[in-house]
Amino acid sequence: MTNSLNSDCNLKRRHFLTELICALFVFLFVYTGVSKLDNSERFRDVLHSNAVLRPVAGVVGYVIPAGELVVAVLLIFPVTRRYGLYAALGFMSLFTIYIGWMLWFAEKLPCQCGGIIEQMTWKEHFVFNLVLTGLLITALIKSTKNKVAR
Amino acid sequence: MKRNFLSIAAVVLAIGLFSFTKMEKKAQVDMYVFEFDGTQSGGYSVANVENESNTYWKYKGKNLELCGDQDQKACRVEVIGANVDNTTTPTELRNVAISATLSGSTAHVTAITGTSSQYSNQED
Repeated sequence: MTNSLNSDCNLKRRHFLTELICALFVFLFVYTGVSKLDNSERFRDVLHSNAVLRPVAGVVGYVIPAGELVVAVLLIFPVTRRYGLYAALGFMSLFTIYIGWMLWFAEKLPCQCGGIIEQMTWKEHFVFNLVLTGLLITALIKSTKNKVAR
Repeated sequence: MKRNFLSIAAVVLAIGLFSFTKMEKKAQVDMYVFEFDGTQSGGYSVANVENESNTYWKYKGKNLELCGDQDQKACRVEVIGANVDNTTTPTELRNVAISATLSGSTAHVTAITGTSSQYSNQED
């Protein structure tokens, strides 16, 4: 009986943690997605200043914020949450690689990440992204355990 | 609904924060950004850089980032609405004087007139 209660409690705790991490990413993706769409001229201009992204800056300038909003929607509903977590992990990995690559190889660091996040330095942003990616991996592990426990 | 409470609260919070930061930004004056086109005949000459016509200074957009701090060749300037030909569809700088000086074979901006006007240069 006690074991069953403990296991139920652990399951609830794991479930709450996953929900909390998902809510954090819903907040993050809605906020940055809407900010980028609202100021898309500036966002595309920053992408255009990058020699590698220049040829696709026009398309990427819309695909990234739209993708962020789609991921946020996937994260809201329990049925699609796992797909959302994988998609968010994909996005965060891409952003982290981009920032890392810019930090090490770019001569000039343009600034546009959407809303208040652009107040961070690139190094801070890189660490911030690493922490968030770690949180996403934690959420994916926890949600897998939740699925197995059920 | 109950199961999605946290996520829905996150959406509301995100949109609330976005609206708040947007309202704060609205209180700031729009800056119109023009970029120097060095592909024209004469390239980055002092005469070209100091010429405010849209042959040399092309409108790029509102509230964009300026360039770096390397004073080697002209890059971008930003001005308020009073210093553009048309605030709805700007195409040209108006009533600003740009000063430039040669550094090596290219000219960079050293001063620009007009309230709140700013300039930036770039690496050669």
